[in-house]
Amino acid sequence: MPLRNHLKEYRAKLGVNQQEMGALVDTSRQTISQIERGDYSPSVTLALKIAKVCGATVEEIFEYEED
Amino acid sequence: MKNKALVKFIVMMVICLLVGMVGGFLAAFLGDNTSPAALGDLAAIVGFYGAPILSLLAFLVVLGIAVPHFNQAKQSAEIWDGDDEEIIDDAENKLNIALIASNTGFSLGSVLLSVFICAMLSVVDKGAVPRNAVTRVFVIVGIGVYVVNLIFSVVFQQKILNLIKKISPEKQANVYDSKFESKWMDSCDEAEKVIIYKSGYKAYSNTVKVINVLWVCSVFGAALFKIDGWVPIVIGIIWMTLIVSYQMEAYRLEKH
Repeated sequence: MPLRNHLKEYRAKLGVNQQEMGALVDTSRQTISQIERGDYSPSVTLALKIAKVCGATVEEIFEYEED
Repeated sequence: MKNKALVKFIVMMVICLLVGMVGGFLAAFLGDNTSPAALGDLAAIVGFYGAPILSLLAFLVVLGIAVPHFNQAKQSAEIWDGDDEEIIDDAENKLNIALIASNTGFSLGSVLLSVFICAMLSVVDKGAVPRNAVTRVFVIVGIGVYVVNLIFSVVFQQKILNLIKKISPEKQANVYDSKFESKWMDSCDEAEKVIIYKSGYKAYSNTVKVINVLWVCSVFGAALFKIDGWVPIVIGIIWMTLIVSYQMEAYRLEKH
């Protein structure tokens, strides 16, 4: 998976669980769980929403790694 | 890479050609030397006695898988405090297994009912089975198990849906609603929609393969055994392939 992310760390800093994080970015708990596990790469819109809620840039949360 | 795929495709075509030639030869040979009606009667008698037993066994297996998984998922959902992700992931996993078991059981039950009814009409018409108490028991089991399976399937799916809605309050849909599919889709977010699309494509791809096999079987079956009433059985198998393929792929993608 070339896209790594630090969503779990940022979520911990915010002090919210997956369900609450999902509600903050208007998505489901399952999607947050899948993103954290690296099983799903979010759309640009969702990545921007997540970054905004976390008070970070998209690049700080999501990293692209060459294979 | 391209050459490898081409060689694989040519090998597959040659195999299909050989199967077609052998099948065609057998159909012509048996058509002249055996009684297709006798083979058809034998298949109908096997279907008449076998389908109700298989249907009952399949339903019991489904109950044995679906109900405990549902109960475990319900217990996990009740103790979930909103933080422990492993508990809720496990609950969702078990709910998916319960749903797959229930849907597979119902579609298999429908296929077996088709087999039973086609066989029953055939054996009763020809007087191939005695009209006694045993025969009546098979008729009652054959149809009764399906009715129970149908009721169980609808009620159980609503119970699963209620639990999913409890775990994910954003989900809005009711099994009894005629617009269930569109309402369900509207309440899914982007990751869930990707799973639905991927599973839909997998179901389409598997169904096309099954249709190819069924088409060949129907052609040879009709030529060799002169069996009428293939249509509901074939449609049932296609339906079952769609449902099982879709749900297994969705389960694999969600679990990943």
